[in-house]
Amino acid sequence: MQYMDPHIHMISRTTDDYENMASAGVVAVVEPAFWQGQPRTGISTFIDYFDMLVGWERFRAKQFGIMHYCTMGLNPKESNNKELADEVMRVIPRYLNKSSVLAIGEIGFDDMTPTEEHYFLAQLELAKEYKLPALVHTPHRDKVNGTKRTLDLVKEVGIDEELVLVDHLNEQTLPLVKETGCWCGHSIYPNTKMSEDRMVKLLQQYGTEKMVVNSAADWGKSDPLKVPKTGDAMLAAGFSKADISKVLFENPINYYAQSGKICIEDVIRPAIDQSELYEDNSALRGQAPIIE
Amino acid sequence: MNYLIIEELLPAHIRNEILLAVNNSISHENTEVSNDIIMRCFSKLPTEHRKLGSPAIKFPGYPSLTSIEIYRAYLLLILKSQLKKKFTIALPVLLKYCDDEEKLSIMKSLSLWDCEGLFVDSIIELCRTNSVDLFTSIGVFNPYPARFFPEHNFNQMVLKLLFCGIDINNVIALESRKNNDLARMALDYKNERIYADRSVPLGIELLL
Ligand SMILES: [Zn+2]
Repeated sequence: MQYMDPHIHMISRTTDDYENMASAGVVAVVEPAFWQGQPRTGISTFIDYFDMLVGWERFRAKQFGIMHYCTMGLNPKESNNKELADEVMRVIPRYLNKSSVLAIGEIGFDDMTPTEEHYFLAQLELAKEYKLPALVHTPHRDKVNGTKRTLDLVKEVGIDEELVLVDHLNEQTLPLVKETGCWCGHSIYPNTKMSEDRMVKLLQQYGTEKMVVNSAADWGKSDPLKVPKTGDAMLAAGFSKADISKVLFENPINYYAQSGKICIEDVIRPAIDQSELYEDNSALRGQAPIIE
Repeated sequence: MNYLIIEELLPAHIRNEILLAVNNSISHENTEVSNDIIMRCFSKLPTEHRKLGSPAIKFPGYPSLTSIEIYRAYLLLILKSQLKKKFTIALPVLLKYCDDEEKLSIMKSLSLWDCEGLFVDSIIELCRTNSVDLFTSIGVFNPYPARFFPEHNFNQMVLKLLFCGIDINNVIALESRKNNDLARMALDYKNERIYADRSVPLGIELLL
């Protein structure tokens, strides 16, 4: 089985994670730009982070046979720092045409403040202008309301709903998104978000069309193998291999393919060459490199 | 003129895209805005190429250049002819904005648009900091280093190629740049490998 994890923060993960993901069948990942767990103090740390997403992390993933793409954006939490947010908005367009940048994201609401709304709207406009998909995070608190407001704003901006993926959905918010043309993202994340079993029930109830599943693994207690694990849970519940492949491989690729930068044929496992060095630093420390 | 040869090769759509971006860029007073316009066009060329069904073109005498690398060389040639002296300020900024694949495009076509060695310092800097793919694109099948690198930097580059296991038989004009220092460094390195019971790097005998 081949999988794509369409939302995972790999810079917080170890090389063991990469190895385990590759052996579980994950061939490609998309890493949305997000916040780092603590506030950044200047624009240059944003630039270094963005450069890392298109540079070092991409290289690191390749060493383990995984294709790495990213999405660029100002995250909801940090859009509340207006001065810094304006500077970030100025540098984002520089990245949007790069080959590994498949969408704008993750954008959306955290606290649902007017400032968050301002930058959310501005970035939806950017997605429209650059004809790029927009990956939208929905808030943990006041989720139903936040999702409704999100969908209203998508309509207000007039971006093609096909380009929008509304993420971190649950039993309460999925039906709202199902009424639109947007794609539906689900994060299988221990404790705070979805579980594999609940996901299987949603797929039984709502079908596989435009349904996408990710691990959203990051620096918190999370599990980068949640996509393959959902595949196992689907199989156990009687879904066909074709269904599993559709939800966990083809759907996310077809969603991001709207960027014009990838298609299914591109997403084949890159040959592993761990003897490659990046900026004089191998991700290996002494062990024998695997070369295929 | 190289740009006239490329102009013939380019699909009209790509040529227009590039000319539009360059004109747009030079009409802006703010240099950051100007650079961003160029960068966005530079980054976008692979996507435009896909949209056209990826027609392959080849530049005579440079068989390893891909279509996208040729498009990008054209952009740089046009930019250079429009910006004149200011090009020497613009290019290093552009390099800073590039991802590795974009930098690699710039390295592979260096000799097409920098026959004066204007950017030797920037290229030496890149030798220091980048991925093996990128470093390889500077070090082998590239006439630029032998033509423009000072001896110390040329030697460092050759040594690093050996370290990376890249065959130095493919360093263009290596013979003409061989020197005593390089021979000594190569011998030291060879002995270091022998003491450590490791294999002797490919092509090191060329330097001894
Ligand atoms: Zn996330």
